[in-house]
Amino acid sequence: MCNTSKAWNAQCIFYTVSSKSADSLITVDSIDVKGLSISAFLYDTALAKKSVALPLDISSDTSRYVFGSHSTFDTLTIAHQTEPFYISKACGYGYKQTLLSVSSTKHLIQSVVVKSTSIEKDAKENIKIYY
Amino acid sequence: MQKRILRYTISFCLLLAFSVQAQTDTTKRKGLVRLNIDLLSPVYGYFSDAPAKRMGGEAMLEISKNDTLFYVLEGGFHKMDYTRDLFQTTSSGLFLRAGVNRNLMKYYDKKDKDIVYIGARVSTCTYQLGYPVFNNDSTYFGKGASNVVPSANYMAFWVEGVFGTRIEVVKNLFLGADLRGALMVYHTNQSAYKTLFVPGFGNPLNGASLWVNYSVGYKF
Repeated sequence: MCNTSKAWNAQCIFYTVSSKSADSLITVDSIDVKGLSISAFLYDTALAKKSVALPLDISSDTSRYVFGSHSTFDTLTIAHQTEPFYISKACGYGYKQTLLSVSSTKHLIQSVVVKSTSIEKDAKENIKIYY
Repeated sequence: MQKRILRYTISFCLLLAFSVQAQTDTTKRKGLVRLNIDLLSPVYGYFSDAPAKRMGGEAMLEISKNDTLFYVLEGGFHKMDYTRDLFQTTSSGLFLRAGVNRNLMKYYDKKDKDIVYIGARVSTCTYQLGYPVFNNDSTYFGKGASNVVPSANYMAFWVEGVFGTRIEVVKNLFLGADLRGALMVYHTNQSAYKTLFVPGFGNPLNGASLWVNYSVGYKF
C-alpha cells in the first residue's frame, strides 16, 4: 500500500497590476479552471479564490489550462520538465517537476510570471497571475 | 519462505563445520571435476509471491587437483518480472562468476567425499532492463496514461563470499547448499529508472545481497 504523494501542484497566486510599486494580492470573486480539452473542472465557479493549485501533466512537457471568470476566458500554458524518481517497490515512481516558462492569453489575465521553478510538496508560490 | 530457507541453510552449514574439527586427515585425496546444477532458480517462480516473478538456471563447474582447493566457474541466466499497479519492470541477462573454494574438511575415510567450504567469487553480468509499461496515477490528466521507457542494457560487477557444503548422497552424486553474501562494486545503471533485480546478484538498491543456493552435482 502506497500513501506517498507522487507529484505536487503548481501553486498560483493572484495579483493585481494596479499597484506600480508593489504586488498586491487580490481575491478573484468567481473562477473556473480546467485543463484544455478536458471536461472535468479543477475549479468550477469557485468563489473568492486567492490562489489555485494546478496539477501538471506528467505525460507531456506542457500543461494547458482554461481560466474563466464572468464569461471571459484565458488559456494558461505552462512548460515544464518531468523527471521520475524511485520511491519504493510499493509506490513505484514519483515525479520531480520543474517549471520552465509560463505564458497566457491576455483577455482577463494581464501577465504571468514564474516565481519559483521547483514544484515541491511545501511550495507556497510558483506562478504569479496578474489580473 | 526465504527466511526459513536461509535459517536452515545456516544451521546446516554450521553443524557440518563444527563436525569437521573432530576428524583427522589420514588420506591422500584425488582431484575431481564436478558439474553442479542449481535447483532453486528453475522452480523459484512457482513459489515466489507476486509481484516479483523469477525464473532462470545456473550451472557450476568445480575443478580440483587435491580435493582441497577448488577452482570454480559459475554461469547462468536469470529473469525477473516485477508487476505493480503503477509500473512494470523486467530484468533479464547472463551472469558469470569465477573464484575458488577452500575445503575445510579433514578426512579419515578415503571414501568420504563430502566437503564443507568457504569461497570467494568475482562476478559480472550483462542484462537488459525493460519498462514495458510505466503507468502514472495522475488523477486529472488521465489515470492509466503510460510513459513508454525504452529498454536499456547495463552491466554490473560484484564480489561474493561463500560458505557451503556438498554431500555425496549416492556414488558421484552430490547435493549442495551454500550461503552467499555479495557486495556490488560497479553498476552501470545510474539512471532514474532503478534496477530492482540484477541477474546473479539480486536486489542492488542497498549495494549488498544475501541468498542461498541449492544444487545437485555429479563428479566425473
